Amino acid sequence: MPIQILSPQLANQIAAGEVVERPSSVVKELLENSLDAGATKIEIDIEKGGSQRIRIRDNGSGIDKAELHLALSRHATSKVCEIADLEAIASLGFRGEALASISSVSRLTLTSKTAEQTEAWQAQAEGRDMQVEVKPAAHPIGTTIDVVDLFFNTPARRRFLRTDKTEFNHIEEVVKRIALSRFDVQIKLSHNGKMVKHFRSASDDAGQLKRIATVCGNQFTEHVLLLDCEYDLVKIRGWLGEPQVARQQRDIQYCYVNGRMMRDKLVNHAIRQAYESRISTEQHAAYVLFIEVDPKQVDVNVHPAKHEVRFHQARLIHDYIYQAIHSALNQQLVELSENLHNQNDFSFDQETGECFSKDDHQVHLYSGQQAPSLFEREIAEAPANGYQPSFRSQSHSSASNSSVTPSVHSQIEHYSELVSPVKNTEPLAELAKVKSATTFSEQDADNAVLSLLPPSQILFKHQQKLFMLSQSAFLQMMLQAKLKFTWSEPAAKAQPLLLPVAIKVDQALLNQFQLAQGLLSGLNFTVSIPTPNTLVIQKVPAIFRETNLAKVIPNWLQSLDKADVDGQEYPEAAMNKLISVSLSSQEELTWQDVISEVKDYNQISEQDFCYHAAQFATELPYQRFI
Amino acid sequence: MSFYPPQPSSEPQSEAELLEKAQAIAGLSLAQLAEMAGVSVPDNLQKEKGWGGQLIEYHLGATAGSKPVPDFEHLGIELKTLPINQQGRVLETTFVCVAPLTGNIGQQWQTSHVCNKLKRVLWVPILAERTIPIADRIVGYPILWSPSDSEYNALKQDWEELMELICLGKVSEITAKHGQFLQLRPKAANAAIRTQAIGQDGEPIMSPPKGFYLKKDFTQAIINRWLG
Repeated sequence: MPIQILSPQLANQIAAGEVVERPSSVVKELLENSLDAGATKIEIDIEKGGSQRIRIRDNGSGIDKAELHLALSRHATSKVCEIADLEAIASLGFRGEALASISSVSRLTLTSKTAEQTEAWQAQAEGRDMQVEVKPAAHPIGTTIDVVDLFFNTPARRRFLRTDKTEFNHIEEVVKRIALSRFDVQIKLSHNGKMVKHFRSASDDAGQLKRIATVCGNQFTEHVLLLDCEYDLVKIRGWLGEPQVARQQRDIQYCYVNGRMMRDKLVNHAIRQAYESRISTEQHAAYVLFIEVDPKQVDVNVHPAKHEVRFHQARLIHDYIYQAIHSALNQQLVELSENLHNQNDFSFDQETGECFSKDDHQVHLYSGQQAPSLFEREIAEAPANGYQPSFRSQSHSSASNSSVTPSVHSQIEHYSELVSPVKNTEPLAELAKVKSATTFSEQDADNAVLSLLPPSQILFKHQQKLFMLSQSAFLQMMLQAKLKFTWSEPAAKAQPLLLPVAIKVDQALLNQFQLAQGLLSGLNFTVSIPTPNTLVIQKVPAIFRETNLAKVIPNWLQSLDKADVDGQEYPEAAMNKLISVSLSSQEELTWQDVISEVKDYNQISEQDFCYHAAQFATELPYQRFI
Repeated sequence: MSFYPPQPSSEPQSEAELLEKAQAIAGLSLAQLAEMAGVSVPDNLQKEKGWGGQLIEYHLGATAGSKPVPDFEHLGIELKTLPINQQGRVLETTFVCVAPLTGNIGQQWQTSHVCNKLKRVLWVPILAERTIPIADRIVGYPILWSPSDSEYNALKQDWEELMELICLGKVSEITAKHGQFLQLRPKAANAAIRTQAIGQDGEPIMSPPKGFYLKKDFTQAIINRWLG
């Protein structure tokens, strides 16, 4: 089959597959249209379970003659006009599909008159292209939609229809649900010419309760709790059946979000949870509940039949619904038995839902932990050793109510506690970093390493002269320069080691350490003696960060003489010893090592480089290399 | 420079004092710390998972234990040990707190235990490669940390997502793959343990207890930032 564009009729019939499942879906769509048009009186006439006729007459605003043909076209609606409208839908419908879909699977006549028009007009769509024919007619202000022979052209769908009675029951259910959502609208429902339901408009509580009784039965209205609470973006009003009128079926569960009847999982979940332990698992709570949220907080464009919605702050809405219902049910319990909550030995932590025993000296176990850990047992048994850790448990009940029932308002206040995010506070004061090399260009730099000359020689230039330097001499020179810098530069900060290095010491080495203390602190080492035979190197000058300190430092300490540490400006002898112990463990350098060393060096000082290069390097006659 | 052995002592009264205490034990092995506390070193930590952390807590004077409040409650500082290897790579995810599976009604991030515990943390790295015997493991240099704005927001987002699943009855669908930095994993001595949770339809169900864990990426970033 070639690819081709579907005829409007077929496209509409496909769409009808989603929206028009059975006669009751037609009734739902048309009733919602009437309500969106502001009708206060609606008459519904059904013949043969809706398969022969569904006629809905309202006194709403009506449709202008010029728009009649659009009303029957697909994707035509007066309820949204740009994408922004979709984000806050206040009307029941919005897809612009219902009338076109229904008229594609039935013979639909739309008759309407607006207040401005002096006459009424009737429209009908026919044929593959769904051409709309408009004729004059007689009709009061409002709209009548007459749907005859539903599914006459879709035999497959027709076969799914049940008996007239069953289909009418479905219609009745839809009408009931809508009747509960709008107490202010008068609705008449008749079947085969006989009036079946008449919902009078009800403005006061008594009238509303009467309408509820018509829908849910007297047993429900006699055991009902009125719920009415509001918080910020959510408003909940409704009637809750007391636990004793819980049902074996889900037949009295009427839930509306912004006036739209809903079978939303999230809402049901919250309600089920609130009734938990009050009704058995086989039972279903009975309720009529109206939830109003800011249309911006909810997306109804989720499900084709709009049975489900999506809340932007799903968990908060869920919790709020739970809380509202839970506390209303509790309130009832409290009234029944005042002393119910007085026997508890536990304090109930509202935030965790955990009960803390008030026994102060017990080891606390987290949920899932079965026994105190070895540490907890040993420390609990240990004799006073320096100090006893206080595994003192504080019962966190001071802020919470003594009643198990959380006060709705205090709980709700949590919602508004918007603490500003924690700012990144001051970093470790000691933590300071020696700037890493910024830019280094071999061409521009006065000091440039040119090449590695095996074995272990480094070729470099300095002020238009070539030098050759052994690797060990090079490292020695570098280290000496760095040490000198660290020694003389107060700004050279110590860096803490992520893993401080512990060194086992005997008395002799400890003496050597005492001797070298001035040197160590001059070089910005921080060493502690946590136990008499342990030295811990905690902070080091940047240059020693990569050094094997556990080896270098003890070797150096051992090699020191008293004479080395005398109060000179720069203790050359001691530093040279440090250099030699540090370098003894060095391996063959790679080009990368050399480059990074020189980068570091450039950061220190050019003069130092000259000074030291002259000491160690062999100058090469420049001409030989040209 | 401190030349005195750290006296295992009472609760530190200030952030600076706590940091000083933590610095004082940096570099010591767990064996040395255990000796000072008068406890024995377990042969393996399979059964005594929190031993290292408790030992450090003891030396720093923490009091909160496994309660859902920061270890140093009056300072608002949580103590977390962080197993690392010689190269400073984080070896394990970090347990933050037990995830309450019920009683979460109205729970908000700002008042949640995760937020509470992670507002300010004293990270104590521990050299804890598997090949190193427990006694020889070394306590690292403490890092006092608070989340940056972006870290804070990322944690918050993860938390909101996970809590929504918990509260709306999808706890059984949660895997360790949920969440960028914060993940929810079973937290119990063995797989048979069950605790109460909320099911698909709001009914009570039994589920393995869960805990909030910080992924390694997150803690590694803290270490890396500290190392500079």
